[in-house]
Amino acid sequence: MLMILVFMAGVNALQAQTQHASWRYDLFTADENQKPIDGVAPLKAKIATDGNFNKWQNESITTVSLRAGGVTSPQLSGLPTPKDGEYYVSRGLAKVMQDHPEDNIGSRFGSKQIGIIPEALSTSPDALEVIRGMSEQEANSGRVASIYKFSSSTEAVSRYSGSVGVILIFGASILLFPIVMFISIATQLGSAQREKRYAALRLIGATRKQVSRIIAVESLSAVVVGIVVGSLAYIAVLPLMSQFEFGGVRFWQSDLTVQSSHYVLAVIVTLLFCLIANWWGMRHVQVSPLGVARSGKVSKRPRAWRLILLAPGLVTFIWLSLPSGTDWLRDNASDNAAPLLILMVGIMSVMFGLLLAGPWLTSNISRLAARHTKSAITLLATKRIAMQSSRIFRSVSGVVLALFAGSFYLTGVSGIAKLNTDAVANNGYSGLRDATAIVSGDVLPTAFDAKLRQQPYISSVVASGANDKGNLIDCQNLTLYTRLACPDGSKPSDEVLLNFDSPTVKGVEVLKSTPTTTSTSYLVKLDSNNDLDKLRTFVASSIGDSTAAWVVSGTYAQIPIVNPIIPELANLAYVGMGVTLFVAIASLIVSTIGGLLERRRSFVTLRLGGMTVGQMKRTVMIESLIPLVSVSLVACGLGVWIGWVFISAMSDSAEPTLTPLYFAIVIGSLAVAIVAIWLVVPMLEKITQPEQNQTE
Amino acid sequence: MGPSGSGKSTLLHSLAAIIPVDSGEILFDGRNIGKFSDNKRSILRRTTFGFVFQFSQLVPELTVIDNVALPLLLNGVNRNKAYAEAKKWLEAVGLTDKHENTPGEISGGQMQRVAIARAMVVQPKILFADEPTGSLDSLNSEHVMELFIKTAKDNGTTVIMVTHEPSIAAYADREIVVRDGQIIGAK
Repeated sequence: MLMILVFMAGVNALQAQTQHASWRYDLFTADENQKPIDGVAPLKAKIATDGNFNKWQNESITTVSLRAGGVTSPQLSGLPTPKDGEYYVSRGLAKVMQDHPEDNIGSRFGSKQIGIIPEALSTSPDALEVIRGMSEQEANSGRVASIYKFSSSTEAVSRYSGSVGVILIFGASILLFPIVMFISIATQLGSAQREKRYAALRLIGATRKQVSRIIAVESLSAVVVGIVVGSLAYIAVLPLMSQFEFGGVRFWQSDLTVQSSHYVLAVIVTLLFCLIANWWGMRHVQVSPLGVARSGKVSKRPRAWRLILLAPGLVTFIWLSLPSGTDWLRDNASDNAAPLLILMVGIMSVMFGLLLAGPWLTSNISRLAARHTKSAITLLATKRIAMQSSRIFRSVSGVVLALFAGSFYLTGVSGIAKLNTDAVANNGYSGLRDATAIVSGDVLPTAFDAKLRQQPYISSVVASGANDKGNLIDCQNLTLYTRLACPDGSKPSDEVLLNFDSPTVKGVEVLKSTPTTTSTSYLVKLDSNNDLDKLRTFVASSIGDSTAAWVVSGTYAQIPIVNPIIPELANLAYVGMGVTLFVAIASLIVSTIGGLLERRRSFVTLRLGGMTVGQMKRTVMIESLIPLVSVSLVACGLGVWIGWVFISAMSDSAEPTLTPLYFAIVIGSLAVAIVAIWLVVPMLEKITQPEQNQTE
Repeated sequence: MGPSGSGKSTLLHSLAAIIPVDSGEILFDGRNIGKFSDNKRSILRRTTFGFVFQFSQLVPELTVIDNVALPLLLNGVNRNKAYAEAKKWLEAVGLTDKHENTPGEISGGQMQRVAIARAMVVQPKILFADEPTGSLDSLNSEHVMELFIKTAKDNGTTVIMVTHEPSIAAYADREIVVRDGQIIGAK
């Protein structure tokens, strides 16, 4: 119940986040979708993209500029259109402005803050957003959209549901799958303990129907208790969830609150899950007056047709690993959708193919081991695994999904991280020293360096002539503002040409003659990088209405530009793997206990025949752990391999690496599983005590 | 021999080192096995004794031949030798064609014959049997008992058997009658 509610809250919050920003969608699509309406004056609108004054530190400020064409112009719901000089800020930006008054950020957007952007129009309590009024001159220059009517948010939300929604539902299914398996296995164990009572009820005359009804009522009561506990737990975790960040920002708590209709749906889904799992667990159980019998038929030996889905996927990735496949992929990646389609189909084929082929692989590997083992313990364990391969694999199948998907994603992400690091290394601006900046733009006032020098937070400024090939800097200033140096023997007055917009210059060459420059940039040394926003505000206020000036920070140029969703999804992958492995270990413990109780007679016979308790313990350890360990290793191996193929296909310089956290989760979970089973097996000694089994 | 609840199974379990005894001694080869540790009793059972119970209690996941070879494998006997021995004993009990079947695929009488083969494969000095025909019809009981006695005699194995059926007791050379935990007669 908790999982379903948390999942629903997450989807709800993501959809709501899109919905809050859906009005901006009209600005992007105005050219196609907005048609003049008689009697309606257009609302002029634009989202700032030029310059970088719409930034605070290294975060972007979404800046929307509006100008009403007349009284009939459409308005944003609940927000009167700001006039020239007026502006609204989001709650997140208001907090930044309150905490950093010295940055004077508001003056970049106007002269008067007239309110806070309402929740309905703001994506997050942390989002940095501005809605400002613009002058007529600004409204008539550049790319400005004319809005006649704000459309409903449905289109934006449906677009969103089509992509991220599918990924989320897919991810949630991966998490829910092992939980359903766990419920089924736990039900079997629970029923094994209640079976004697059911048999006694049959003996005193209860009909099969009455016993079934009692079983149903008992299960239902447990589910109701679970629903209540799950609902309370959801209320308890709600404050924690509101601190969770997605895309670098938190959700509005109101968006995380599950609506009543969704709550009813969650209750129905939980009930259905539990009842189906209950029925699944009890479907082979026959309660008769003389006791309870399980149709203990040995499951059918899985056939090779189960490889039908896995084989094409593996063949695809083997081919893509070969030079011919990799070349084809790279040659076609930018031209058509076929490579991406093949990769996606291949990944799905391997992932679901593993689930389908799992019992066959488990059965055949264990049969092979049984055929060649010299140990009685291994023989017993592997034969049991072979005979019960479908059932045993089912209890670990959730791990296959989570470890495969997690390993694939984390391998892929590690490759992207490497690409990002390379991008920083190849960014010319990353050659600037910390707490320096370059101020550039055609609209800067003349002799701007003198004005800059007057700012108390600026320690030095140098004007640098620039043309389309780069900036002209003398050797003396080169070492002061950048981490580069002129060759040995050069004089301080020697000049070099550096192009910050291209990859870092590896070797600096002194110019023999001074080239012609067409504009001037300014290299600025700040007292601290915290003064950057003061500089941005100063530059913004110096260029009037224009936004065509840039302030590039040397400190931030050294930080990779990574979409925050990538590391957050990586964190979710870690959590998903951890949760799934935890559930799998719980399932393993429950199914091991269930298996011991079910096979008590068999173990008693073995013990009477002279098998020691230690030998029995080792047998149970092997038969419980081998499927989990081998399945985990196969899933991780395939996930890493396919992730590697995937990222290698995208770039020949990517080097996927896995983090220590990944290994800690996988190895740690398997170690926990070993310890957990080790703690369970001593019950063998008790349940097979010859003294207590004389009546068997 | 004795009625239900007379203590005959408890006596058999004590003699077979399945359960420790509260008082008295159980001497085997001059050693008091009643005081052995659990581990030592387990090793004694699997190396020196054989067992056949009312329900054959074969391991359901193992094939017939695996079940018979299992005690030898537990004793650390080489796999090839263990399976060759198991094969020999399955031939002796007339189940040559059932090697690869699982217990679920053979009849109750056949299961008891597998249990006899499994008990005899370690060439026990004593074979303990607790109602070995209790779950069989009379025809199968007769076949199993004949096989049981012949196998034991051929291999010089002592059989200690518990039953409440006079017709089954008639196969024995010596009969001890138990009632309410006391030996009340012998012939």
